[in-house]
Amino acid sequence: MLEPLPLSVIVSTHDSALTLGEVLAAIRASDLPSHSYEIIVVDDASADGTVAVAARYADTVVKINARRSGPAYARNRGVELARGQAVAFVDDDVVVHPDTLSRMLGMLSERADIDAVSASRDENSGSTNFASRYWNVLLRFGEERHSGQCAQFAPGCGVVRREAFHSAGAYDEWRFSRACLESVELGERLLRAGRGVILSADLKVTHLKRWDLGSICREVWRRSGLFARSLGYLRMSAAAPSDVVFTLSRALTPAVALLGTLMLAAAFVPAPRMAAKGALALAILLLTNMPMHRFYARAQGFGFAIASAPLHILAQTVAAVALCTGWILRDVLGDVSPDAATQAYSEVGLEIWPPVPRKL
Amino acid sequence: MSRIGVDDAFPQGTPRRTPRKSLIVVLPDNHVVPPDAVTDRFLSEAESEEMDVILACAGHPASIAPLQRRVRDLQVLLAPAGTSSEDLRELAMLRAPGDIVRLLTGSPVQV
Repeated sequence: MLEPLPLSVIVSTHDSALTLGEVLAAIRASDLPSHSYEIIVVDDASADGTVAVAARYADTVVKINARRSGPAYARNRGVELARGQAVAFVDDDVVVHPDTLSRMLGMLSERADIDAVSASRDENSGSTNFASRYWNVLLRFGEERHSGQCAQFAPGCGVVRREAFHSAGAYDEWRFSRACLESVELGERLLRAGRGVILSADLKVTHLKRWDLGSICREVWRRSGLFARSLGYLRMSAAAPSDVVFTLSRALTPAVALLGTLMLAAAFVPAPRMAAKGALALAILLLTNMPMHRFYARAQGFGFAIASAPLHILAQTVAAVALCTGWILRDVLGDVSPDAATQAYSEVGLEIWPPVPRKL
Repeated sequence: MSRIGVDDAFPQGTPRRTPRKSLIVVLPDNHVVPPDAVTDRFLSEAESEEMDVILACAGHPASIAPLQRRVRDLQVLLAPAGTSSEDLRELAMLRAPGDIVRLLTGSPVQV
């Protein structure tokens, strides 16, 4: 039999031929001894030559050729083959720093009270367009504010003891058939099981993904909707306060309260002007978002903070609408579930490769 | 909610109960692999009898006869001398039929 290793690095990927090489090369350039870890790439039905890129660096490549099943499913397949006593999950657009993985592994070996540790994003975004920089700073704001005390298991780069991962029940591949919050939910389950989960602000990775206005709105919509419909907003806001949805929605509550109070007061003012009303509402939103804008100014400059204000208000609006929609859908349709065929195969208990997604 | 049919769930024809496995052994110039290392990999896999083994070599390999004796149906992929380890891996992967593909690079020849 082959010897167990200290670490298995699992990279789940889909159509990432452009970035995967850089991601895997960075893992290979880590200061970990080469015999102390393995790289397992799980290809989730790519059609762009991702597998060939993976073969250049990986020790094991798993090809899921059926249909795209999402990172939760793919990572679980990777863990099934892992030899490591700890498993690291690295996204296919995340570049680790040379010391990131070794320091994470060091934290697990030095502190028995920690079972999972995540890295946070650094100040550099892989793409330099405005939307990518905004998204990077927005997520960093939450991570820096809540690092350490936070139970969030970050999707970008996180290491967990394999025994803790299995005892928590692995990733929820039944509910998360698309990339969205599966790691946050796993972190919350680890926490509920009494495991130590931390997000470290000192451990850094660089995210390469290029964002635009549309992809930011879609991501905020999906995350907010899933929190409200499936995961439970209040429960998750306590477990993973650094998530971007809570960063966006936290400022909304005082904004709504302030607006309500002022609207009530305005009822006693005869015929106020529309422009004055709009300016007042905008001022309230800017005021309640002030800690964030100050952070933006520190990170990217005063001009960036001013320019990002409209985008920030748009993201907050999308989050608010998605949260309300999620709450309504939860009452009407219940929790999210896979498609009818997957449910049918699961019911029958068919033994096939690739396996049917499993319920927790 | 999207729906899928049986054809979508099993797009490659007859479904398999277990994954097909492949092992790629990569030998760049002046590298060798002890047959035992390959056999260890075999033994570590539960269903070794279903494993395809592909040997990807740069130039003329020093000696693959012991490996050929140990591994039945060994496929040998010969690339020009000087082909890098990464390129050999990529070339072999394109020929590997397995759902789970393990890659093993040989060690440099000790002078």
